[in-house]
Amino acid sequence: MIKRAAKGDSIDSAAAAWTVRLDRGELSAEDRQSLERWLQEDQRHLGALVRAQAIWSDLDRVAALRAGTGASAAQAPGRHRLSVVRWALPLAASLLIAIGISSFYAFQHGRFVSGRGQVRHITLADGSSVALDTDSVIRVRYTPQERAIFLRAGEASFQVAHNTQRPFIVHAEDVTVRAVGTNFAVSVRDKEVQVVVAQGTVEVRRIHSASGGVPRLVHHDQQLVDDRARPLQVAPLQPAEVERKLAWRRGLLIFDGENLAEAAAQVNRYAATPVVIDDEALGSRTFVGIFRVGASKAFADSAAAAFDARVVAQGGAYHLRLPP
Amino acid sequence: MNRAERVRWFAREVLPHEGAVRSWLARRVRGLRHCDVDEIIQEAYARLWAAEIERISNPRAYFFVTVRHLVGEALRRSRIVAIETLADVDSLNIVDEGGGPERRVSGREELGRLLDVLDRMPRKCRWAFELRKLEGCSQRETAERMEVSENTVEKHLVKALKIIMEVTSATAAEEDWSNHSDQARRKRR
Repeated sequence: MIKRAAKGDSIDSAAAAWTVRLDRGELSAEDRQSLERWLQEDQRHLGALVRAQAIWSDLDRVAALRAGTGASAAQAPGRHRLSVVRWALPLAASLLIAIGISSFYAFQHGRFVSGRGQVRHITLADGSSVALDTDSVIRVRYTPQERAIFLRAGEASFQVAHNTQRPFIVHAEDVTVRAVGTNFAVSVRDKEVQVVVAQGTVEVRRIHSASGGVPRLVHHDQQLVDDRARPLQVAPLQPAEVERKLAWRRGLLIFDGENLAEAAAQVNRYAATPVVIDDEALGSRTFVGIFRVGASKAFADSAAAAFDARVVAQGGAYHLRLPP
Repeated sequence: MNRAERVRWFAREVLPHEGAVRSWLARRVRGLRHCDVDEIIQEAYARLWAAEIERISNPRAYFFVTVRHLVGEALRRSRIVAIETLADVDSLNIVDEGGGPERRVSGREELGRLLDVLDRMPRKCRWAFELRKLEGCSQRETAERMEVSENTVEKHLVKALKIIMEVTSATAAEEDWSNHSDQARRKRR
């Protein structure tokens, strides 16, 4: 049995090798002969090759489920090698060194800005780390009593080093988010503040509210929204949803049932070339997929493949439209 | 259908059912020396490839039936009278085993699996894979971006594909394991 299994496995290895060779382009005459020979040796070789090619091809599908029937995931990629290298390095600190960005950001005061399409990882002096989403700005002010962060724009996520003596407080619009040791993200968009907690608990209060800044506790797998018009809203999140909302820290955008218009809006936050959906019906189709931030072309191609649409590059944008 | 279209058809219509077929198969041929699940699956792909796929209206059922024939052939060749297994094969009700899209693994699960698989890849292998598959670079462009030779890229990609193929088989094995436990429980009763 083991011997047989080992044989099956070596067929798979050969099938994988041929699949990638075929993916490279036209085979040389020599390769073609050699492939023919291999295929003739055993009927199973053809089967293994078909299977390997199907698996390889399946990865191109964009992970688009047509309204729940099941398609799969392609991702889009980091345009910068930085982001790819980063994945392999668990520590933000080693990351900064590895990619040659100055790691001497660890001072206590400073302003950090990320450009469009950029996700920045910063290690602070106390060992806490910050991931800065696209188009975001924070200011850091550490004092012996307090670790203060001011989120001026965009979104930032924090992995806070535990220190009860010196609270970690994020200021965003008119709320403060206080953590002792935890992992959470705060975003500001159109004056609306959202807090997503992945681990631990944070305490959120409004600075200027009539309710006198009574704090709301937000626990892990919960989200708080402050739209200013209503009291602070806390709602539960599925763990998978939390992961999805924070996927940008890994340089990814994950969609799971959003409609195409919303997904495109998110993609465009990072993209140099935006995706425009010309067809309203198309925009309301639901979508599942993983993309690398900034990869708007890959997103457009995937959506087109999923919904039988076309991509037209025009006027500095990728237009998605249904065929006439 | 040209070759590339045919491969896409397999990706779309056959591959999603492999897990179910494998687990069905493993339950029936366990312990039979002449039936190896991986080999039967490979044979089934070869037969399906040779079939007139345009005329296959229910690929899932077709996949099951093909596998069932292959098991039958293997058993006849082996001249082992495995009465139980044969009876079981003959009573296989494809309609019951079959099922529509709702039986497919959800997109969410698929995404989760892809992320898991990426985490299992060695660093450079993953980088190459991401550039090629997720960023849509050709192998040549991938090589340029990584500043390595195309042959090196090819090696990384083969490794990535092998990891994915292993996970594809193993996922079915997990399903099989749970089915097996069910059976064991039923037997004890």
